[in-house]
Parts: sequence; C-alpha cells; structure tokens
Amino acid sequence: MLIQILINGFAQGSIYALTAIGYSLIYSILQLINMSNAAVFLTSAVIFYALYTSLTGSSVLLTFVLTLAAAGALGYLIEVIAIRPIRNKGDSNTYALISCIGVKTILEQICQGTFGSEIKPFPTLLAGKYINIFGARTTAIQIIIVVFTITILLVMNWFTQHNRVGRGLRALSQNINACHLMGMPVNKLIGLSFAAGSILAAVSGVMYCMYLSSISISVGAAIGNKAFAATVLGGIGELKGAVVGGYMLAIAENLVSGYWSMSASNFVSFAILIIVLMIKPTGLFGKKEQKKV
Amino acid sequence: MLLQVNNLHTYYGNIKALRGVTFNVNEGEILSFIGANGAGKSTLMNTLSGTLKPKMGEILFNGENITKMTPQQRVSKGIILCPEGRQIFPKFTVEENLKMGAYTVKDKKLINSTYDYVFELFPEIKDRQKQLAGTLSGGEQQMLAIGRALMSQPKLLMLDEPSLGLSPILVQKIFKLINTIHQSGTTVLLVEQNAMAALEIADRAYALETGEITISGTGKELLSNDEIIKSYLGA
Repeated sequence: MLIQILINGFAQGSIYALTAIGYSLIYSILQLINMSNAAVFLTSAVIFYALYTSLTGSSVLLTFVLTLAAAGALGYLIEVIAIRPIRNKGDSNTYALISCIGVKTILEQICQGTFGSEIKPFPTLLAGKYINIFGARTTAIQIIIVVFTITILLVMNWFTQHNRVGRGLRALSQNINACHLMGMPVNKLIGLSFAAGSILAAVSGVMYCMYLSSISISVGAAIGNKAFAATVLGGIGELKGAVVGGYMLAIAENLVSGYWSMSASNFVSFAILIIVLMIKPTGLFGKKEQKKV
Repeated sequence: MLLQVNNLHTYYGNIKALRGVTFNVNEGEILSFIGANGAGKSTLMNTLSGTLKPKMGEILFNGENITKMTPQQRVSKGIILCPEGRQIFPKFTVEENLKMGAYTVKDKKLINSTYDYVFELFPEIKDRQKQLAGTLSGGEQQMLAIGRALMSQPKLLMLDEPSLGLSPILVQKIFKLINTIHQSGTTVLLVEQNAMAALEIADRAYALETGEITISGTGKELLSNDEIIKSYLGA
C-alpha cells in the first residue's frame, strides 16, 4: 500500500514539479507570480489534442514535439505582448500580475470556445501496460512521466550551471541592472525564461492528460493551483524548492487519499500552503531577503 | 577623441539631473568627475552606459553616434560601466562573475587570457575563484567588479565611485590598480566623491554641481583651485 502510494505520488509530483518550476523561474527574475502558467498548461494539452486528432494522427512523438514548440512560442509571445511593455513602468509588478491574469482568462476562454466543456479521451502511451514493483502496480505512463521529468531536471540543472545563456538566466535573478551593464540581451533572456516556463508547463500538461487518458477544460486550474502551492512550499524563486515542494505535496496528497479519504486529499495542498505561509513564509529553501535601503 | 558628449540633458521623472553637460574624453587618458552627493555623477554614468535615456543631447563614441544604442550595443563597442555599489552577482562564484563580464565576447582565447590578466592584477581574488562573490570583503568585491568590467574588453572603462565604503589603505590600492589598468592602454572615466584621490590620478578633471559642469582643467590645476579646495578638499 505504502509503495503504491509513493509511486503514485512520484508520478503526480513530477507533474507538479515541472509546472512549479515555471512559477519559480519567472518569480526569481521578475518577482512576478505568472498566473498565465496554468492556462499555458491547459492550452498546451488542448493544442496536443487538436494536433493529434486532426493533423499528425498516429505519431504521439511528433505531436509532442510540435506542441512544445508551440508552447515555447506562446510563452515568448506572452512576455513580448503582455509583460514587456509594462515591465519598466511605475508599479510594474502589480501591472504585470493583472496582465498575467488577463492572459490567463483569454487563453482559457479560447480553449473553452474551441475545445468545448466536455471530457474527451486523450491519447496515451503503452495503454494498459504495467509492471509490479514490490507488489505495487506501476503503469508504463507513470514510469515514463517520472523518468522523463528527472531527465528534464538534470538537463535544466546542467543548462543553468554550465551554459552561457542558462547562467544568464541565473544572473538575471540576482541583479537585472548589472546584466544590462554587462551587455547581456536582457529582454531576450526574459522572453526566453517565459518560453522555458511554458515548455515545462506544456510537458506537464500533456503528460498529465496522458496519465488520466482524458482531457477537460478544468485541468489547468486544478494543477495550476497545486503547483503554485508546491512553489510556495519549496520557497518561491528557488528552482530546487519547486521540485522538492512538488514531490512532497503530491506524496502528502496520496498519503491522505490512501489512508484517509480521497476528497480530503484536495484540501491538503491548501492546508499546507496556509501552514507554510504562517510558519515559514519563505518556504523550505527560501532565504529571508534583506532589503537594502 | 574617444568619447564626445554634447549638451546632455537627463531627467529622473520630473527632476532634471543633468542640465546640458558637454565634455570629451581623449584616447588614453584618465578623466575624473568629482562632485557631491546628488550632483548628477551617477546619472551621467548611467546615461553613458545606456541604462538611462537622455532627453536631449548626443553621445559620440569614436565619432559614431551611440545616443540611441542599447547598453548591449555599447558594451560591444567597448564602453563598460563598473557601477556604484559594485553590483556583483552575490550567488555566483568569482569565476562565474568574471564569465558574465565576458558575455558579449565570442573569442574563447581572448576570454581566457583576460581571465588570467584579471588575476594578475588582483591576486587577492585568485585563490577565491570558487568562492561565492557575496562572501567576499568590500575591497575584494570592488576588485571583482573592476575585473568583471575588464572581461568585456573595454576601450573605455567607466568607474562609478570605486572607493565607496573602503578603508583608506584599500582606496590607495584600488587607485594604484586603476593606474596600472590605464597604463596597459585602457582609457578611464572616473567618477568620485573622494576628490583628492580622483584628482591626483587624473590627466584632466571636471567638477559637477547640480547637473552642470562648473570647473574644468587638468588634475593638478583642480587640486590647486581655490574653489575646489574649499568645496571638495576641505582645507
């Protein structure tokens, strides 16, 4: 029972972690809670569904690659259109937050208008295949999700440590003005961070629908809220916090639904969110910022 | 003439911080700007680096009009600002900070040789390559900030208050190093509240007051100028 719970938790945690990184990455750079992230999660799943059912047909891989490309472009566009023009104006954080909510609403409405409000079957990989791990039934898609997520995390870790552009993103989160002075293409890099966050949300969105073998219009909001709770739990702005927070939250939810009740599991994430905010507002990995006067 | 600035006006919101500043920097010299807090020194530096847009006036670098260029384009042309307060990346190691300074440089060999040159200049931070920059002392952070600026291969190195918050001995040391950098062929534009140190090192100097140049001359001339002595040297 416990092993089954942990396996389910890790699969679900992977979904949370990838989406949570998107929140954390943007927050670390712009101190902005990118509310459009959850809508990109949904939109990407809808794009996948639309491509798969109309154009690419049988190839999941091709559909997946095209969806990620579309999500990356969407993320970059969101920054260029909705954030960049107001980024340096007055109380820019509040403006940008409202702008993000606007983008979220627009994307959700477009999805609802084109996709409709019913639940539809979503293509999955290796349907019905599973293996036993210490007596726990582990589906193929669970294994794919966890392995793929860990691969992405390792690649991201390498990218931000050793690649010039990746290091540039980390530099942005420390001092944007200094980045300007070093001659870094700050606008492009911020756009890129939105693209990266969107691609992660897309991976997460498509994998989640594959996990459920179904898609509905409410899928973004459900996961978006929990991924955000995971971000706060780990310490917003800390990438590794987002990952650890995602896995911890999912495992906690599965423990509650396994040993107590299914309906209580949903409330766990928000109970954790509130408790963290009361006891350690900076989250597990967050450090207290000292504001310089 | 390396840099020519004509009738530069810059605003901070509604506040006029620069009121028609005109000056030039010759190739190979050290030029100092002295002035009190709020005289417009940092505004001038930020306008030259491109992070502030002037309302009026023009900036020519090597004869080319760069007034509308982005900071990125200016760095590529060879203008770098080592900002007030150092603004190093605290969560990066010394090594990573220096690499960020070379963001616009493509030539790996050149990056490596400059990297070695920086440690020749500042042996103090050589042993700390893998240390987080935020844990360095103030003097070491200033050295790192200057080193990081040098990584961009500047023709014009602009230094905003490099002596800020440093002990007198460290100030002496930093100014000695600025002189060494200058002697290796880099033109230096220096902005300082520490008028004595800034004038002693300068070929030419200007005094900036409420956004206007009020006095100009060679470093020596300004050192013996009565008004300068009264207002800045406190004798």
